Amino acid sequence: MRTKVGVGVLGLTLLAAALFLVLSTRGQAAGPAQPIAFNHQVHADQYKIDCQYCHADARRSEYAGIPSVSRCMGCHKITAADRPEVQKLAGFFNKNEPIPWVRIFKVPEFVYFPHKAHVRANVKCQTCHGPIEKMAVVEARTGQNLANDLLNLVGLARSSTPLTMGWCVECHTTMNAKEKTKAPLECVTCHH
Amino acid sequence: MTDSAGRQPTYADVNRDVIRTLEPPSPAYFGWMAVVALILTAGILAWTWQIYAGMGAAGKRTPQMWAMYITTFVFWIGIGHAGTLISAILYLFRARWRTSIYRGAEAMTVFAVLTAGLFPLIHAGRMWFAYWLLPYPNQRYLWPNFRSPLVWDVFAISTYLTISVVFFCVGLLPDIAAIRDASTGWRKKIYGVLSLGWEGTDRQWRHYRRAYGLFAALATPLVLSVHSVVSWDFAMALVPGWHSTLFAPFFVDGAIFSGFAMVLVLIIPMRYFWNLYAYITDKHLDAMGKLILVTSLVLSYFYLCEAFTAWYSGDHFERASLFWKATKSYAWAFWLQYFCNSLVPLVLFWRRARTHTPTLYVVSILVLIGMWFERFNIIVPGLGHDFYPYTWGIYWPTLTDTMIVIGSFAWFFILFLGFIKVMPSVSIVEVKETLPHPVKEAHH
Amino acid sequence: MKIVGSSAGAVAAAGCGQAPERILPYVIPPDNLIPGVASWFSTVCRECPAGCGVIARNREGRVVKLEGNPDHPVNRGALCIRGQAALQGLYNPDRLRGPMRQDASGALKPVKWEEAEKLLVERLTGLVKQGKGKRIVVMSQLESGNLGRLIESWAQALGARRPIFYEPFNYEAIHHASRLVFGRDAIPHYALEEANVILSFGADFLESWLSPVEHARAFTRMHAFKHGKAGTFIHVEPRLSLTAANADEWVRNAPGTEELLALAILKVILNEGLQAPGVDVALLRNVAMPVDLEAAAGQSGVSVETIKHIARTFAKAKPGIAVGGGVAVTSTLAVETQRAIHLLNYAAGNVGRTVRFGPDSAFVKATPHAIVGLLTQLMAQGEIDVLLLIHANPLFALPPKWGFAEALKKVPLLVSFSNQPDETTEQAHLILPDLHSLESWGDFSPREGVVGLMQPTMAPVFDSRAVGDVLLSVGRQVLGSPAGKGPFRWETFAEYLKEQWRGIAREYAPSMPFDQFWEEALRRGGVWKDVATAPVQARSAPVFPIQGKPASVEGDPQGLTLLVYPSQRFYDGRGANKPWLQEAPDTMTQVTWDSWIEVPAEVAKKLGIRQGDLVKVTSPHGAIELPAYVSESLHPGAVAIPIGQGHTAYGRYAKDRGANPLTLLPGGAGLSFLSVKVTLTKTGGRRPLAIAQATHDQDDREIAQHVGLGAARELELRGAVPEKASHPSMYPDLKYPEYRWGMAVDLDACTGCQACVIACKAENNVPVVGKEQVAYGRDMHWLRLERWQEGKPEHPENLFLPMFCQHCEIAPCEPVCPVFAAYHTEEGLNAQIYNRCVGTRYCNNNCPYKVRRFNWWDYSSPASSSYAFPDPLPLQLNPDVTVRQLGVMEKCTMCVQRIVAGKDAARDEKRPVRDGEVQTACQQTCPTQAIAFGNLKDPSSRVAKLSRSPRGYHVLEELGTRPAVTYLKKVTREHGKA
Repeated sequence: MRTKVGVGVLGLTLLAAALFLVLSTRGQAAGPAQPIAFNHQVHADQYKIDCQYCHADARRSEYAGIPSVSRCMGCHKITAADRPEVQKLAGFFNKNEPIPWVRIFKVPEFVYFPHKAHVRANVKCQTCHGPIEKMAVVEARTGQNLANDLLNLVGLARSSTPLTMGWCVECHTTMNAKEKTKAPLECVTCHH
Repeated sequence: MTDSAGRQPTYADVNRDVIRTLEPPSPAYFGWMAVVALILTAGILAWTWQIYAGMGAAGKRTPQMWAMYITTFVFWIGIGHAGTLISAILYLFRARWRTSIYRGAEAMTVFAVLTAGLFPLIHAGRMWFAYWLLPYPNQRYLWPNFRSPLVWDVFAISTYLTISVVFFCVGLLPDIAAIRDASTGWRKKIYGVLSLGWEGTDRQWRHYRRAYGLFAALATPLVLSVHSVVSWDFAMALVPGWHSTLFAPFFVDGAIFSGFAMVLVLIIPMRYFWNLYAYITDKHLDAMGKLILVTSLVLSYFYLCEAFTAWYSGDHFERASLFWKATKSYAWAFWLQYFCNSLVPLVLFWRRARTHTPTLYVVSILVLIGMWFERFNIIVPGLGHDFYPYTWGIYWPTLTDTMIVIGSFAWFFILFLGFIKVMPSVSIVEVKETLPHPVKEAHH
Repeated sequence: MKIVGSSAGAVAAAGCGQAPERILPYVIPPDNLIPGVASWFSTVCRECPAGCGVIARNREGRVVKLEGNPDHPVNRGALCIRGQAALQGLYNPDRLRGPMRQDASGALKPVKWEEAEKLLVERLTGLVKQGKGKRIVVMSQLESGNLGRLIESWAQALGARRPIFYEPFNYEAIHHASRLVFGRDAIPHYALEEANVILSFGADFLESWLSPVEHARAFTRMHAFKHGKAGTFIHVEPRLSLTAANADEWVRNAPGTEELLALAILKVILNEGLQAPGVDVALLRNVAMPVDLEAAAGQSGVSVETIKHIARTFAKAKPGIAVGGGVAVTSTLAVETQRAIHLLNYAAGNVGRTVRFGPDSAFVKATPHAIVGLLTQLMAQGEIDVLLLIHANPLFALPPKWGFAEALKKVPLLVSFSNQPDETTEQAHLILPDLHSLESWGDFSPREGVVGLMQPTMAPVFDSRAVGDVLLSVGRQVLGSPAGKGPFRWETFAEYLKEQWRGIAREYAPSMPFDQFWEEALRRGGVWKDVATAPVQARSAPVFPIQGKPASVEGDPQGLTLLVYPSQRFYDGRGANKPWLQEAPDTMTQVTWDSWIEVPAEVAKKLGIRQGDLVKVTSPHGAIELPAYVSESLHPGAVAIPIGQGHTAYGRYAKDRGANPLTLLPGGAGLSFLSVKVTLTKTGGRRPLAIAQATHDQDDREIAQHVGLGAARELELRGAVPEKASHPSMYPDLKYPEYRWGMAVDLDACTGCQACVIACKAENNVPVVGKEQVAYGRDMHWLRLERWQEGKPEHPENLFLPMFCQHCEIAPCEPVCPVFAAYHTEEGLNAQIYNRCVGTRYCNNNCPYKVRRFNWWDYSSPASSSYAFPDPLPLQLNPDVTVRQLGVMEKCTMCVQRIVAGKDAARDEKRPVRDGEVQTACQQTCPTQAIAFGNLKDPSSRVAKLSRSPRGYHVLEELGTRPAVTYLKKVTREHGKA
């Protein structure tokens, strides 16, 4: 009798744990508040401005590059100059101060990720950054994630979360298999 | 089996005498506990500091990337052998004299392995990532390197620990039941749960016997495998003095050798304090003495082989390494090892020495010291004079690593001292088996 | 600076970037500066007056690496150990943050630039108005370019005394002797590469003499074994210096007998009629004949046979070259010795061939010590009111006996333009920190026909101003000349410079439009042209008397002659504030951090001195305490101390480290590094030296191998590659689809200069760990320069071997790593993945070469007490290389980040990487090009060719590790038969 109860309790707790894990991997993190409420939807979707028009270093550098304030002002001297957010921008420009954007997409410091090589291989920005052009506020859930790891462990293998190593490797291997690309799989390519 | 008065104990005596060992301990016992606990705390503090400050806190350097931690690790693994050997192998060989000592020996095994298990963690530069040595599916799509002896260690030791713990617990069952029956109040409840409802019915006994024999059979090969695998940490490496096919048997024998010494170190006081002369008799000591003597002789043979191969191989590095060990900075440790492991045990050729407890005790202690230094001499001087003269150097222990090593002994003893007060350290059941069945008339 | 700051912060925090992070874009992007892409700026190295060309690698607005300028005629792409370390002057944590003035209490307090300048202007105007301009003196380091010219005209305009260009090593003996012998007050150009025999009297031309990088390269070109030919190098010196260790024949003479020997050799040449045709024999006889060979041999301890054999070798070289330097030409017989050496060259017909007047060296512009002595007197007499110091540190670089310190107290206003807190600057009443040379405009001309152009390679790190700008504005204000008028009409020094360069343009490229010329010059790092060699004749008169005896030394006649010699790492001491240089072992002794006194073994035995015992060194002029380094090879009548340590200020890395040997030298007019005898007494104390190399004896392990010249020729002819021990492996042979990276090191070319060691540290963010850790075998050098010796300990055969990860094909470190942190790439690299490392250290146990380095302490986190990069040093960190964390193993990666970059560039053009396109840091900086790197799969690559050399071998080959690094045996000459 007593044992039966014990088993029941144990079962319930395990179930609860599993449920929690599954749920905790769902749901989206709200993007952080930025110094200027920049809206990618307007720029990238509505006006179809090419990503690399602003993030101009992506094709030639390790970094995609955050547009300089002067580049923003290039359009916004006239365009929508009356909007409060744009005036904030002008404020930074006149004070000759950089805009302290909050970083969203980040790989650890021991990872060397060159945008250049990926642009050269015609990888779409969205492949890694998600449907940015649909986001009014940019947000991302990236990096290692305990819940996901544990689910992995018990065999409920979900694909790894974005910007984790497994996620990169996954893409490289599939591309090499499907597209016959030469995406490197050496550790030293990214870790040096 | 007779007590000091030469009278054979009855079943009742056995129950009484053994359960007596579980009576509320004396202040002296708590005194000991306090001392040990204090040392342990120091050890824990030292480890905390090492984790915070980095491996530099331990005296390691180039070329001694390994030092006292691995030494002590191998030492404890070695200790962990005698227990299973006595309980399993001797059981299979039906060596009846084992009955009264195997429980203590087994406890020793489990705790020794638990202690040894700490050292790979203590030793790792980033112990917080030590779990990467376990093969489990992860988001990095990375597995451990199954070519690395360190990964073999992980498997060998975890297996050994599991088996010996299970074996140990199974053996305990009937005795726990016996205590349950003898005790009262909350103790009765606890022992009740632990005895998993042992009633001592024929059916239970039948299963018990089969299970026990099975585990004994399982444990036996492990006794040999574990330390062979540990020895490969060295044998698989390139370092002069390490790269030898001799190592597996060499290590196993050394392990058993030191294991028995440790058993003696533990049971001699037990028998003295609890007056267990009736169960742990001179016959036992004598048998143990003989085993130590034999393993020592085998070990000496291996020592000779080691030196011979180093010389006969004509390999410059091997020779230089051996010569350096024997004559330079670490010569004292080198010769201490031979003195303790090859010379001292020879006194056990005399029967009187084998039954004379003080002598036995001193010999065992010296053997333990000798065996610790055997591992030390393999690792520290071995690395100190390897292939590349530019980086040759001398290792100096620091307060941190010394405290951690001493702390590991405290950790072992705190476990053991705790055990002997809550569990029967002499097997009631098996001792009874060795006694003649009581005759009805005796109870008039 | 914002950008610089943020990106640097990111790098410094490598590995733990979890905190919410801000990214700061440029407000207005500087043109052609792309974040993540390096831009290069060419300038001139100012660590010594050799004036090597430098290109600085700028990432996100901060200079992260210096490399030699491949076009520059002086160094041809190479840099020495000090040049590589210049960055740590730029980013030195103790560098002065801004202008300061001494307040009433004598403490230095920060001030505004305007205030500071005003102060100086008032003081100067006062003096100039009263016509007391002569009470103003400028003392600068040697400035052979337009800054020097500005200083001169500035002094003139203010009616100040002629400025002093102070260099502790000014080689004045050479140009004095030139004047006496050839009537030309000049330091000639020594074309070592064109000589067949070099006869050096103590000239440490591989360490500090005149232009070490240029000389090292030239030396290898004449000396290294090539096509069966190899030049000969005979070196005469009492001490086994690094240069001496590179000689085919090192002749250990008694200290101060160089003149005698030179004349004795000259005499032999004349006796045997070996002199070149058309030389003035009468003149030579006059000088040489009075010398008695036997006596000379007796006094110098060099046998008559040796003298004769040297004479023959030298005279028959056609051409040879004789050079003098080090203590030899700074003794009391300095000029006489140098004169004798000139005559030797004259007699052998080398003058005009290997010894060329024109192009002359800029060193001649350095003020003679006598003048500095005069200045000291004037100061002491209170004749000087304002002393302006420009990167000169006389308080350290002059013997205290000169009384400069006392004299300084008589100077009411001492102004220092130095940007480092050196001894003299700490005494200054006013500090106007100059920009670091890497931040400033300027030019420097090391010799005729070469003008190196300096441009800012990054924005100033701190609030400093170019000394040129300050001089201009101060000058204007003092003279009260309106803007754009008067002798200082230029707004900035940059403008002044550009205008002066119009003159240079007319001289060098009359046809080219100036703007184009200027662009060109900025890009190439200067302009250069050939200079015709002027014919010189030895003047028959006046010939002054032969001393015929060794240089005179004062002090206890029973004592030992003190040899004070320039340090290869610290030069005259200005290198001592750079941790890289402190931690780089001195190649010969392998001592790091400390300084020491080299004691001959015989003496040590007699006095019972062991290595590391503290010894009190007493001369008639002072006493210092130093730990002893017992030397088998040093002349038993001498002790030796390197210059450079013993600072009492100059920042945390230099302060209170070792002792300054100049303390033992006399005062007076000249600066003579061989002039006193000293006595040694044990203090009883001990200060063990941090010596990196456990032993110089290879214990028959054939790590560094050599082959006789004859044998080498044979091998060359046969061209047969020696059988490589290729042990069978359990694993299938590795396939290398595209590349197999490998290296080859020619031990015959390596001079042991250590430049590669620092280049590696700079490129790969290798931390500095400090004396205690090095002493305990925990140094972090990925590349170490080993010295192995064979033969008689008092006269050993020296072998230098750069040792780094051998990237074995069958690497013992790989199978033992439980987590694949060490693994083999498809391109033959033995990779180490730091972020995967758990720290079992098994790999280093199993590495036969012991080239792996473990992070024993937390060198990378600012919170840690062993943090290796105090601000602003993180600005130097290479963003392409991870800064390693606590508890991980690291090692040479063959600069994998450069390989990745190279492959990326190649992929842009859809082609494979070209040979020589990717250079490792060590290879790039090597003055003698001893290191080759490249793709072993391409049989035409330089590295593949060298790897096939008959002299090639692998270290510890018998272990079957199959290294990717091939060493080429050193070619040794049979002594006496060279």
